Amino acid sequence: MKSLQKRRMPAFVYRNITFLVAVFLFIVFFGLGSALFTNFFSLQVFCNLLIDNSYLLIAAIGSTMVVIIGGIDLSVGAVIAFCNMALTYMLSIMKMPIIPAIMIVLCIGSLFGMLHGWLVTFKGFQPFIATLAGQFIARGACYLITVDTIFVDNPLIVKIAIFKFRFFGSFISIGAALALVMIIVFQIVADNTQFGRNVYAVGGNEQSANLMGLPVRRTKFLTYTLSGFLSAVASLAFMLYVLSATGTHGDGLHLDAVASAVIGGALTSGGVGLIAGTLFGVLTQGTIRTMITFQGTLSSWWAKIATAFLLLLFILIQRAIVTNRERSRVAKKVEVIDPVPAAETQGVG
Amino acid sequence: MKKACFILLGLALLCQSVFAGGESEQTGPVSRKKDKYVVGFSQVGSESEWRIAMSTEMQEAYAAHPRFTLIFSDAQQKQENQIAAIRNFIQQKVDAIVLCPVVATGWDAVLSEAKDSNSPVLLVNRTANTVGNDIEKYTACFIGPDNIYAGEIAAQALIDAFAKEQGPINIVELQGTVGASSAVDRGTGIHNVFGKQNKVIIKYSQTGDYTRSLGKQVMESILKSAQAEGVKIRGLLAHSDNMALGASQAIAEAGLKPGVDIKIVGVDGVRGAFEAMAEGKYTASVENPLGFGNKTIEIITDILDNNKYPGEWWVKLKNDVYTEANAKAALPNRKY
Amino acid sequence: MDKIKALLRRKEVLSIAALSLLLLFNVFFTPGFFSLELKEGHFYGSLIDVLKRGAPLMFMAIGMTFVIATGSTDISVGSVAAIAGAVAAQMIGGDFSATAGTAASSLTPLPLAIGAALLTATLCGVWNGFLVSYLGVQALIATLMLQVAGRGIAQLVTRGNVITMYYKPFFEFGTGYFLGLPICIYVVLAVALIAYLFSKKTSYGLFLESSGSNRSSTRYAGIKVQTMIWIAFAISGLMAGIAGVLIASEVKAADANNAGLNYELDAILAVVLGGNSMKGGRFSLAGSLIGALLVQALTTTIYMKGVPAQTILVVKAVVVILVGIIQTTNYRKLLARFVKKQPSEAFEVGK
Repeated sequence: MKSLQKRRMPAFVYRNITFLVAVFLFIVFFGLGSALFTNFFSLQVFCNLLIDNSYLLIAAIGSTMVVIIGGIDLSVGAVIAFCNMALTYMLSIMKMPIIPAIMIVLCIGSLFGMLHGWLVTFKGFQPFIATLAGQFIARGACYLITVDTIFVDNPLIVKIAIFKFRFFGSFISIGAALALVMIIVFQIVADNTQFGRNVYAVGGNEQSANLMGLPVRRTKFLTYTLSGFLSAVASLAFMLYVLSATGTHGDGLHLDAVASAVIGGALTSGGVGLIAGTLFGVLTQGTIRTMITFQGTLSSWWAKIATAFLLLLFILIQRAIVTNRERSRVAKKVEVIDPVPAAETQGVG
Repeated sequence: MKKACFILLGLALLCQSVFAGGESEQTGPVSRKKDKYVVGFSQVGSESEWRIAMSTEMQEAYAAHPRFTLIFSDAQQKQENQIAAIRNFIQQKVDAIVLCPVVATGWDAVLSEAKDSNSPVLLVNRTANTVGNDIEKYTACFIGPDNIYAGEIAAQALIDAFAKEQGPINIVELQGTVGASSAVDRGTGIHNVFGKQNKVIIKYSQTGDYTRSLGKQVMESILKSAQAEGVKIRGLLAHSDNMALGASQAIAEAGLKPGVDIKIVGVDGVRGAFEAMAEGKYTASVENPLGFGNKTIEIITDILDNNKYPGEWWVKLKNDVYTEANAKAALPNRKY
Repeated sequence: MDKIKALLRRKEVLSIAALSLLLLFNVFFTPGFFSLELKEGHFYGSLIDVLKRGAPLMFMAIGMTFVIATGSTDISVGSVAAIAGAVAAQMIGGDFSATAGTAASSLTPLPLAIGAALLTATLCGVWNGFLVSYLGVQALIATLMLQVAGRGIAQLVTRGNVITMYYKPFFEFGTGYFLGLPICIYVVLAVALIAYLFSKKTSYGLFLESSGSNRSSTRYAGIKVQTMIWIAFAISGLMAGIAGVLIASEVKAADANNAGLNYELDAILAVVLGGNSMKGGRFSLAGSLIGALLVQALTTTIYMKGVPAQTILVVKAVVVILVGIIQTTNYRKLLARFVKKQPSEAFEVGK
């Protein structure tokens, strides 16, 4: 394998270069913020990134897997909003006990995922359209429950929401802890299970995967279902975060999720992506936002421009470092003629 | 592979904790008087002219006070962003926090963190509440208008415009963004007043989402439906001026005269409304008061210098009504 | 018989059918939808509204068709429209003279203002194209950045204000009529015609379809794929610019926040409903235009029925799913199942 490449670098670095660049750039951005602003360089700022983005982290796991399989999930934000709304409604207005309510919500999320999976896999829908329809349905359903803002008044939930895990003088929330656990779990799943390997294989080259005898349809269907399920789990973290429900929650979240996956090394053409990378994608976006807030003097519009600019910077540097590797991937995965090193169908780097 | 991730993550955490300071400050001495104050302001977004005017006014007021520095954060209308912004303010160790909450609930966690950090929180323009109904424990005050009252005087202004006519008179209500507290409150006020009489009736009611173009689009469709059903629309009551301005274009394009054939009343008091009133194309506008900049500076100074809290939790701001009569005179003074 | 079959197999059939169904529905259930009168020398009615309101969407759908034909997406069109509107408004100026109620003149000559707006929009498209084709940034991310920054730039141009314009000649584009029909419709048709000729009569269209279908073989055939993609994005930017100027002209104001908001989703929807595939390849401009009319007709119908606005989303979703299912159902396969034994599905990979 090394002989095919011109560079001499350890296999580990070579395979995961986009991810490593993401980690490196995150540290650079965080360092930049620390240099520019007082009180930026602290454990709590880092922990805040986890707390404030806990729901995004969980949802982005699902989005990453969908991107790896070559699709996209636009329904993430809307499903979170709807699950959150349903959960809040059940807990506060219908006064249901917590566990059954959570179970129902997890089912709702999975059902959305299954709808997308069915449309894409068995009906040949394009993922963009299928999940866009799902987004519209979820968003509309939110308003059907109620057009007002309702809030969570269950004292146990409020206690959980305010609870802080304290360590080294900082704290994180339960939502953040949940997010970290999910990331670890799914990174393990991606690396060590047959399903994980199938996802990469199908995303890399569907025809080859099929010819190899892999269950292509089942894998695709399951991936979308999983994304819906994870959106529901994310809505739990979201509920803890906002303790209320309104129809406009989670607007645009799907773009943040996909952007995080891409920053972390995923390719929208499929077959490539790393869940741990998505973690850093989310952290980077959070760092950019934090830097803008710490800066404090930008007007609304300059803030938008600055955010986009920093993102652009990140993407450009990442691409500059990784350019050679990407060139061979830009051409669509249709060719069976192009030599595709065996290791790459595993989707690493 | 995953081992590497964990190692990296662990290293990062370890590094940070070694170099960082802790958060173990307890409540300090009672007087927090300082030479200079840093105030963090979390604004809803920049979704309308009025909102932008509010932000500009805040920034200008603080710029004029050398003792105060304003950290401005725009949430792009997302509650999640505002919660994160407040956490950042706490992390930046600001002296006070000013918050214009995009929705009314869900602030419990972050307000309790703010309380722990001993920075007073002031609510402006939109109010909020906590689960335990004890928002006053967590915030110093709420500076803002009474939107129910605003709705009531707007409704009354429209009814008065038909004082010389016989009923029944059909009008259209253009609502604000669904679920926004201002829309809910103004709607309540409007229905309070309309419920007390039955000469003027709200025949059609739809949301215009506080935007000019949707106001226009919805009005177009309503005018056509009304025509098909043989209903004559005589008035328009919009929760915001820019929706009304959009709708008045639809009215003009339908061959009717805005302000004459259909009387128009809006809320906010934006410049466009004044210009229209000066031309007789608009009937009245209820002002949405500004002045948050100086008011917050005044109250924060009181709290931090003298440990004196405002008497009433709700610092009410007045709504003025402007009609065709006094609009032209007031026009040169309208900054936005 | 063969000719009819060939006609039925065209991409646009489904969208035309869906639109016809919707109109049929309106005939029975929506009073007043089809009423047309003559007011002030022009036609007035819901049908005219659909055309007028749908015009910006139709422009964007034209541009989006080119981008989707390459297999990419452009989600920045809404923001680019806002920028274009802002530039035009800033150059025309919101001068208000209380006596006339209209501005005597605009700050810069009208053609210059509109030209500047369109140029800015096209440059945005060029920027996107540069990122995607030369730097290899994924289309979704590249256009996402402009979507975020774009509104900021638009607000920068207008200094955060909503600029209300009073210069009458500018409004002709959005609200004027010619021979009874809205002027914007003529412009849409003209632009669509130019786009059609460009794609069918020049080699560009062919190369574009080819790049979308199979990028590497196109490259091996010696065609510069990068240029094709770059031009597609430039066109998308230009179209978004025209749409933005139209919106500003129609609302008589430049609202940097709300102009063109969420149009990108409707544009993509319109293109797909028109029978185009997001994977790229062969495209149909007519299909996209009909798709745009379908989306707009749907919206107008819902407003007319007084249905709460939030329901629009669900209805749109249902329509999209239904049309999609019909589009992707392989009728020949269905028929074949009845005629002969089902061939092995070993090579059937997710369509």
